Amino acid sequence: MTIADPRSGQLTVERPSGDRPAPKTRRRRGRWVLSGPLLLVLAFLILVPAAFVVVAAFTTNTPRPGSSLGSFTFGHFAILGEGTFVSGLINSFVIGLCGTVLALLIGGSLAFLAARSNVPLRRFVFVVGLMPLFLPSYVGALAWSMMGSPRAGLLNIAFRDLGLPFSVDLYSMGGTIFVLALFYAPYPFLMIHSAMSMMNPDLEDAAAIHGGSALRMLREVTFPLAMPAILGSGLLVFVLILENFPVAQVLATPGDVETLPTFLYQLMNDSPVRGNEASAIAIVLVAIVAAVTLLQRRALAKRSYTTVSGKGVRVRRVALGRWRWPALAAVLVYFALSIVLPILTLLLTAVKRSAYMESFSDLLAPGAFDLSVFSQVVNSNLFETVTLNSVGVSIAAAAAGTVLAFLVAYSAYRTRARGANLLEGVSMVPLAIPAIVLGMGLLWTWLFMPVPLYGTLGVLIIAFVAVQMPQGLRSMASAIRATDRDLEDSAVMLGAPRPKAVTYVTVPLMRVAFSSTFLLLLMLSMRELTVPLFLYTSSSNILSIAIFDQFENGGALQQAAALSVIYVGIMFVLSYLPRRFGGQTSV
Amino acid sequence: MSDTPRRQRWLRHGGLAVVVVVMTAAAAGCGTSASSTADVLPLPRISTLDGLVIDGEKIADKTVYDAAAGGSVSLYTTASQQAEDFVSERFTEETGISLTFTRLATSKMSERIQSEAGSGRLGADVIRLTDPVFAAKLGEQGVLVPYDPPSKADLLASDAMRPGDPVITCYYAAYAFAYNNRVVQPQDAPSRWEDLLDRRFSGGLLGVVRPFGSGASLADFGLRNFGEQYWREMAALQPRVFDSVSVQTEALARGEIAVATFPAHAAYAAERAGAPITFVTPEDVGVSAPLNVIGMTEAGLRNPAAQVFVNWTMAKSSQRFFAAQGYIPARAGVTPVRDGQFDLPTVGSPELQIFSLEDQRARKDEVLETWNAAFGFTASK
Repeated sequence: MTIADPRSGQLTVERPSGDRPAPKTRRRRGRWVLSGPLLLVLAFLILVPAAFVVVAAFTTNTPRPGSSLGSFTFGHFAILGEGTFVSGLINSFVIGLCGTVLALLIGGSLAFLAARSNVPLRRFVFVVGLMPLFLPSYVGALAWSMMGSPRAGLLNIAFRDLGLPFSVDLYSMGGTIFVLALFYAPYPFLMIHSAMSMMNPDLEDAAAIHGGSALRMLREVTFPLAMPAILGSGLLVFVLILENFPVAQVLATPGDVETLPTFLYQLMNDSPVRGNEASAIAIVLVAIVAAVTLLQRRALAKRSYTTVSGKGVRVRRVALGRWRWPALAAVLVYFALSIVLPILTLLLTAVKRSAYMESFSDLLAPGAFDLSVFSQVVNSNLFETVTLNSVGVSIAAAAAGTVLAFLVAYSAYRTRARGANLLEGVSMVPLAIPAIVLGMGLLWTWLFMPVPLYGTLGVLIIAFVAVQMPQGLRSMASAIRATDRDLEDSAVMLGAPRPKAVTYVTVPLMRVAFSSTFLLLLMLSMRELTVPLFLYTSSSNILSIAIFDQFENGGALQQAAALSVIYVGIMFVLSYLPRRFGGQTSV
Repeated sequence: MSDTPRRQRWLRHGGLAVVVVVMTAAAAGCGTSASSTADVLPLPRISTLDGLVIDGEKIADKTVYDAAAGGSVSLYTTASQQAEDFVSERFTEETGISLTFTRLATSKMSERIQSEAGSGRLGADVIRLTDPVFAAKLGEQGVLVPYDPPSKADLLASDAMRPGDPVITCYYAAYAFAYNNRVVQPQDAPSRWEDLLDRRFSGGLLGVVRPFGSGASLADFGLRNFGEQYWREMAALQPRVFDSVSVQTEALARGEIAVATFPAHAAYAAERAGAPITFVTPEDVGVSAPLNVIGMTEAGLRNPAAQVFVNWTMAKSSQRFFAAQGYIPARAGVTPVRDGQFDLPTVGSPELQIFSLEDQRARKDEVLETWNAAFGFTASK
């Protein structure tokens, strides 16, 4: 039996009638059965590294193994008054807000087109929505820098060749926002698509029967029902953009736009590392993200968003009429900007013998191309090792992360378990701590731990699960809020133990969400760069680090570009795993 | 969903995956095999009849070399990735011993080494650093331990090593400037340091890399030779300020900037990769030369393969190999290999202005403060 909690508007668990009422204390203890162990796991994964960061913010020395902490101090927080920090924070907020709105617009529109419209080539639209995930943001930023830099950008060369009086300059705040929105749109896409494709059409049918136009139905029924996914992904994207270093470094710095991540980078690039001050900034960021998360929870707690029931789920498609083809054209433009042009740029960079190009006619000169770079990269000693390591670590981290995210989301949103808010709050902590600072916390944690995991692929898997917990949870949480629990409760009332009901009823109902979350975490793990920088060794090197090293090397731009193209290919192939075995039925 | 569409979808999806895999495999199969370092510098004469002897110089006696056979060395490094790729390949080619390295930027590497050493889990046999102050600190902490390679006498005479000091200078980097030879014609190319202050490079055509803790060498060079005014005048040209040499290299190679302050080894790597970058050894006051140092850890001391590696690094043939990549050998008597474009000064010549450990200790903070003030930066210590 289920009843509504009058305070939250959410469905809550009651024992099936006929059960002997449990004593009060036993019931209290029972409320920790799921959340207790989960809290322990999360504390181990997230809170311990975060605690190191907190300690670093208040002590004169960093809490690394073998050194004393020094004395207690508030002095590191003085950095919050530095002019560069303040201007960086303001710029980052502007970039974060504008980038999030744009990413939501792009991702939300694509999700609607793929899940709920009759746009031509809907499967292709789905793939387009996902594909930017295959391109790590630092690779994308470099590709766009090669395309849109004011003097030597390929777009400007093309404009000059064609005699067109246009020029683009991506070394600016606008350019940074544009590129960030392109590459973060898949987050809202995945989460909103998941919500929309699982949505029961009953309410929409009711709106249509009562004479509501398609537009009004979308405005007043469909999008409000997808609000957990929209707000959840918006929060995620805002924080990720706020902390994104590569795009800011490659596009904002040349345009003299100070940002928070580049400021943090400078602190962490100093020698000795100014980890204490960076940790102080991280504490402030945690507070900001916690406040925003709380606001989001409050906003969502006022209503129920249950849209998935066990009944017929043939989603209602909106007929676009004469907008079908223009909508597809808009999708193609996004596809070109986010994938085709960056990959073509990387391909051109990989096979072009000279990095310099005055005109596209240079490419017609004999010997302008050299394809051997691909074979050099693939035949190198490193390639096989880093590829296998990356794929193995990513699949393991994505699988473990998906299960953990589901358990936390279930515990937080489906039960009256104690510590539900705490569970969600702890899960969101890694989002708020800049990856470069959290990386240090993880390094210290696993060096202190009396288990021989440091230096192995195991520690990378654990670190990835911890760092990507917020993304996994947001994805699962919005799906679980949208999934009706009637069937699960019916199974319990008919005698099935709760775990069995969850396994055989709820999990299959959430197949799309599982597959989306796994895919998201898989791609994020393949792309993860900053955290493993502190944890990898020569025997646990991975692809993202190999590419970063090549780019960092400056002279190896061709090899880096070639490796990036292969990397994107591998991620593309990997993306078929969840799509093959997961929730394809909605697309 | 019926089986047929499912099968069709699988075939379509699986087919696409196969295409990508086949393309990758084809790319692997259609080219040359892994590159050798012989094009950087021809391999030397090697004899293993009585230990390891390279170009007539004893690298390891028979006992050490036999014990090292089949072993491997773990190197932690902050030096250039490409240089370490070459070193790793060359060392294995010449000795048969494998070398794996972990490369990080100085700041991250210092945090990592201190953390690993503090927990007793240091994974390195040998450490190569571009920050001699940090290396000296590791020596004081006992993380690096004294080790005498067979070339000790030469190294002491070259001031690359001090008795009892675990830190050995393995080579110097050479910092001057470079230009894109497609954007700047040779007759217009800068040849003296003051040429960088020419108005024709204003408005973002000039690039500089912002110095951080260990990178104060070039900033100090400017102050020492031309005074504070030099950096102020350069800042007035509104140059592009980069946080790393790699991003600057990419911008210079593409012609986004025309001229930049630049290290010779990066110019070598870029030129080798086909970038139209020409390095300039200035006519007036020479080049700035920060130290690259190497040291043995306790674990390395017990590993014969690590001993062979340090010995090999300081051998004359290896020093020539570093010189071929645009570095300046630390060992006296090793002449630069490349002529013409690089024409780098050697140790002892007044054109090689070394930013020594003592210089760093005495002036680093002041130098960085002056440079940051000139360029309008505040966030540095």
